[in-house]
Amino acid sequence: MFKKLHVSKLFLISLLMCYLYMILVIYAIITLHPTMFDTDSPEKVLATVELAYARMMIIVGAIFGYPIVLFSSLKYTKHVTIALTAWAIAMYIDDYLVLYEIIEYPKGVLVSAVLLLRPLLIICLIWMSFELTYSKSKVE
Amino acid sequence: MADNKVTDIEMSAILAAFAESREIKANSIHQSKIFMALIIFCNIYVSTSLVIYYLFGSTIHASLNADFIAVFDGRANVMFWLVVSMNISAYFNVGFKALCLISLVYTLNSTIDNVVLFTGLLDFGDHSYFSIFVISRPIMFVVLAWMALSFRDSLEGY
Repeated sequence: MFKKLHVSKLFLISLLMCYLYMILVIYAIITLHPTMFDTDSPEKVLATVELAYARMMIIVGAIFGYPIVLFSSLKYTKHVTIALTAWAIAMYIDDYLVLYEIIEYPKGVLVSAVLLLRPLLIICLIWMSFELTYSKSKVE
Repeated sequence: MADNKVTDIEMSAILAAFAESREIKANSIHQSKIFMALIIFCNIYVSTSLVIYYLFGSTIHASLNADFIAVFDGRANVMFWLVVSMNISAYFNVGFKALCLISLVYTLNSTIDNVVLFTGLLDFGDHSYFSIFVISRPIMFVVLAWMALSFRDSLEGY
């Protein structure tokens, strides 16, 4: 089934890692508990939880939507992958440069793992975007 | 006359000789009037919103927690640099479509974040000049997407 896609093994490994990471993020958000937050500001906790759930909705959309696009057209997959990469980088920059005063990350091993592995997701997405952009003969 | 076939080496030399003139032609691709109108609108929209934010932002700051103000400042800075990058990339014809897509995704992401973060905390009805930009945000999405689609980055179609 994957041979028909004409993509490299590295692309498929990156895709698999992205999926594993997204499932880990969803699990971490679903298992969030108020006692995991170590802050006196309920506003910050509320903002963090609301943001997490809003982003989870987009992640769920990506999880189910990406295979449909991937098996339909590699050309559109390229655009969707670049858009998702831009979104992941925008969130990463936003969290560390813009929202750092508002977001209060909960304590826990799972949350730490999610934060630690975040650059890995971005690297995988960048690799996928580059491969789809520069292997033009296959995409077009 | 029978042996006048051009070899690969000669063909490469001919192409190399004309490479410079092709580059000059590629730099002078004329964009459509729609694209010009869209990029002018985008520049005016972002500049006006930034000017209004820096002139009247203090009224919003007064009604917000200090931590939340950093969000507005950060977003204003990022949007300014995105528009500057888009203008430069459009002028030099390098990665404009990718930048448009990045700006579109960033604008969508920041809109979702703002809706999630500031609903209930801030009443934009009290700051009508800001609500104009909040309400007109979907127009910006359309403009960014349309700019990416209408931009001519190659000589195809000439």
